[in-house]
Amino acid sequence: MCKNTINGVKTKGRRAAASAAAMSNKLICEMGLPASIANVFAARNGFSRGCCGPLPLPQDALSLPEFDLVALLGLDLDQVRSAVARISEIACPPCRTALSLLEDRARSTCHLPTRLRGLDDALCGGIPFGALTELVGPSGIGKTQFCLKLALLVALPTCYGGLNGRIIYMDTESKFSSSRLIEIGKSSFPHIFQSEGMAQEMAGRIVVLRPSSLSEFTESLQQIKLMILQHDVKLLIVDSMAAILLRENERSTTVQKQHSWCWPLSFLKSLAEFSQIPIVVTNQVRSQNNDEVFHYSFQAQKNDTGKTSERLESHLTAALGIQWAHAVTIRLIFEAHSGHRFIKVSKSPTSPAVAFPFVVESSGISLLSHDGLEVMGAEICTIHCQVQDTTFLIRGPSHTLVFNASLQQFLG
Amino acid sequence: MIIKIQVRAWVSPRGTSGELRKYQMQGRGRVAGELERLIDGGTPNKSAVASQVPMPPPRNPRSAIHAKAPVTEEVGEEAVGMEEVSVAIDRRQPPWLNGVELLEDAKWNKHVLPTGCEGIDILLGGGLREGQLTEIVGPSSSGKTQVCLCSALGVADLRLGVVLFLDTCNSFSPHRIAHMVNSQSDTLAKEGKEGSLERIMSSILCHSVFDIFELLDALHQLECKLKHQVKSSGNRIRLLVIDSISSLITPILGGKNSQGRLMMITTGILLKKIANEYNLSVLVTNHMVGGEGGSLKPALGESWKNIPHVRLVLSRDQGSNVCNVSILKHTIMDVAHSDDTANLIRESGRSFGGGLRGFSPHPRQSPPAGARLPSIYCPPLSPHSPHLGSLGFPPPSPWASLRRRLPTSEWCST
Amino acid sequence: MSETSRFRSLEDGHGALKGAQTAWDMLSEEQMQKHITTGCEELDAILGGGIHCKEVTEVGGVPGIGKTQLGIQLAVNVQIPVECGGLGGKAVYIDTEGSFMVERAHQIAEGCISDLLDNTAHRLKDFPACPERLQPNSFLANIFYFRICSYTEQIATINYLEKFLEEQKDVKIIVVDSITFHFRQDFDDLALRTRVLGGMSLKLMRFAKKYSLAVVLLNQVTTKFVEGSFHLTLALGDTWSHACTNRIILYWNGNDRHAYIDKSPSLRSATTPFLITGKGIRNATSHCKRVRMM
Repeated sequence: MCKNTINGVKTKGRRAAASAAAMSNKLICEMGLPASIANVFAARNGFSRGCCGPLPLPQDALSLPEFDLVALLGLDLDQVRSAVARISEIACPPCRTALSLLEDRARSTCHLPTRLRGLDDALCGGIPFGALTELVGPSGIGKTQFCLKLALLVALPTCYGGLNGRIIYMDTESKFSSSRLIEIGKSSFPHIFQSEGMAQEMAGRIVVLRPSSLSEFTESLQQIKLMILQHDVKLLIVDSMAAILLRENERSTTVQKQHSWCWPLSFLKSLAEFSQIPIVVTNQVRSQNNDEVFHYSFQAQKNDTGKTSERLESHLTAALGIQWAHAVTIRLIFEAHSGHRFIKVSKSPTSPAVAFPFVVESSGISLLSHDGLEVMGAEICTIHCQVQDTTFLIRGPSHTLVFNASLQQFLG
Repeated sequence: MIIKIQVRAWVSPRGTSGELRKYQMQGRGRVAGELERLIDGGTPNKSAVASQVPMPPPRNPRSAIHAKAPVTEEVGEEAVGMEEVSVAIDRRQPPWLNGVELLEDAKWNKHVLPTGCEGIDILLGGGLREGQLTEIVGPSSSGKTQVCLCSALGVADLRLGVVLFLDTCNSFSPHRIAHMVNSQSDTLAKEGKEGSLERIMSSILCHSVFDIFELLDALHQLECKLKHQVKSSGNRIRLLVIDSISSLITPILGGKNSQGRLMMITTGILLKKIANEYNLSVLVTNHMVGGEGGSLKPALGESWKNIPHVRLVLSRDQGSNVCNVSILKHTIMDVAHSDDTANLIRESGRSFGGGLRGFSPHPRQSPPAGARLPSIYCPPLSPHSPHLGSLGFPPPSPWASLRRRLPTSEWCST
Repeated sequence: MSETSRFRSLEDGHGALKGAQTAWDMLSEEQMQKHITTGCEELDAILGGGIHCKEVTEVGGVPGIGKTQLGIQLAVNVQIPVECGGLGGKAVYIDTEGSFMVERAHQIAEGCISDLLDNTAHRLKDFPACPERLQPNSFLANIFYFRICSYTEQIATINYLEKFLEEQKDVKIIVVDSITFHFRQDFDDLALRTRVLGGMSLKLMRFAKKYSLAVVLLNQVTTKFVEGSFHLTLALGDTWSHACTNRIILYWNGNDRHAYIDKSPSLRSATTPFLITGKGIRNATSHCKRVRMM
């Protein structure tokens, strides 16, 4: 089954990355090694399965110590070395120059515009394809609104500037609301949604999955892998990633935790890379303990004095830890302070540290200003949440914001 | 205790022959070649061996018979092919020595090399002993490389001979040594300084090795060179530094086969053999890894533990430049005081002075362990330093303790 | 002087070891060697001139601190032509995280070129060939990019580099961004991880020495419980901390980005601020205007 998909990818003529990913799964005997050595590998393969473990994949050959290979294959060291060199050469992904990457970029679409002009500029055109984008923020701030808007933009027909693609929406907290989606659609693209049947068609392109446990989640990820290739899926949203991982966390022991966290992470990353679609995940926040303000051991002493004033404020931090933060390519922080809500570009290889004030309207999120506010220093990583807006107090995304919108209509 | 060193060196060829046999049964390829070379490759004939032994001592027939008996018995049980090997081993054996001769050998040939760092020198009773394998263990950035550079400089500076530095981490920094030289010899005139810098720097040789096989190759080459080396004073190789040996050995350990461990032991034995026969002092570094419960332990574990004669542990105080040295194992001195530490100030910097500075002396005769003394800057030892005069004799008290310790397990440990 | 020459001759006489060099030769060689500038003069100063060739340097820091930026910056800066005081080399960029953004590399190359033209315009007049080479696109063409999707590929690529470098002698820097990612995610067997990483670092050391190039490894951070409190520390554990020659940690100090030399055999530990601008990494003190997105 897996092989079929790989061939499928090749025939579809997707990017070199895909064939590279396929390469490391290739069996050693298919690699075109010198005949004598290939035979040895093939022979040992069947025979050693019981006692020493099989050697069908290059990762086994490459991660075993040379001596083990010598003993296992019955070759001498020089032969083993040349075989390993050969396998490495074949398993190595193709080399490209940065210039050819740039040319590729120019040829194909590689960003999903958010239609928030300032943010699109900061991100060099929008949410990048083939990468993991993370939205972090307290609940009720507008992450789900952002996701719904993105889903809508992908579902739009090409003639209206959309991607005319399907969306997979993994809804782990049952926050997805079709009525809210249609409402956003109606208020942002009234001319499209007024035409008959259009709203249904758009909504029909969004596949909502509601996994309730991590095992279900991983299972559906496997299926998604096939679905993405067969159907024209252009966006994968996981809302929220933190909920499903943390739920699992309470049940399992630390060892399992380590493992179960890692798997979806690397899978999502490889999925994004492999299929060249944008993947958007959301993350919650939790309050940070005071003693948890992390420092390196060499800076421990000098920072103690300055921290007392800051500790009085409530500190929030992303619910999934530092390992997760390293793995995402782009991190957008949604936060509220000094009476406004802001989107901050907290981590991005392309853009400077900027923040945009925004409001949530009936048409979804809109920026108050397209000129980003420059954020100084470490501020870019902090998450604030000042409860000033009354609408925060009423939970549940769609109702809240409908309420908010009608309130604004009433006031305006 | 010196006797003990010799006994160990004796045991080593037997150990390898056993391993060789084991290996020939299962293994093939280059590893076997290494072992064969270790046993007979280096020493073509008796006369060469004899000429190497610095003071050809008279044979003592009784000890020879006693010691040889088990070897021949063992070989007798083996297959026919092994006879050649055993003959080679027999021929290879240097003459047996008795205690008095060993003592003479130790007295005349096994000098003490100052490390250039007073604290460590005092702790070790003078410095690095020739004929011994000294190991430095420590976590990352605890000053292991600095001690190595400092010892290399110490030997080169006193015109004792040539230092060979085998570098596995690209951490040998001539710049750093030059800086240490410049900050030490403030008194010299400028041109004298440049001259002495060139002299010192030319007597430190550096060779990069990135592979256990390269290391063994280099050691064999070195052995051949040493064999033909004229026994003169000025430019013989006195100190061999390997920084770090653990990074070469970690990648070959593990897995299902024991060849990795075998290579490690082989390397250890070869190093000790070279050290003993050619009166080199060998200094190796070993890093530390997290063990159970978060505590640190040396990367090369139980099987390596009994190879070095002296093990020093370095640690660095959190957030400061003070490093502590303590003795984990010492075959000559009384290790009962192993919690004695010397403090070093690590000044790893181009704008700073002479590298490691000793602080706080010693064990017994001076203040109780743990008491911090103010920093004492130690000028480099002159060639007429009393440390050199002592020629391998440790201070009297270790002798006393040695007598106590000898009959116990230390004797027979291999 | 006569004494030193005597020394020399004696040494040559006994021939020492094949391939061994005296520290004196190494010193003079090292003084001839150019370093790769980071773009920030203060950072260069504490590094003794920039990133050193023949050494393996590890750079770590929290997410978003600018590790990838530094990696791209070095891959660009290594190409500064010899006439402008650079190395004029090429770069290998091994990307395990997918965070190499070619648009950003283009920006940084533009920034680098515009600074070069400002600073060395008078010198460039003597070298008419330069303007053609000083195009962002020709800089990008000299960055060889490998996208790694699994740890197997990472091992394979490092093995393959041996052959690649033999063909591409101009490569003067290898950037691995990041060394950690796949080894952190996919490994259950820590002993295996230690062994594989150890072997990999030895190979990189060998490349650094043999081809006289700089190796820069980017590493992630993790939290570690030491003496009753949590500390940040670089990932991959204690064994890995021995694997690099130099270790630089990037961290937030108040509102500034700082770099700290955590480990080095030849440099003293020091810390300095640096800045990430639209043009790349620059001095913190100069009043270089940050590019604001319109």
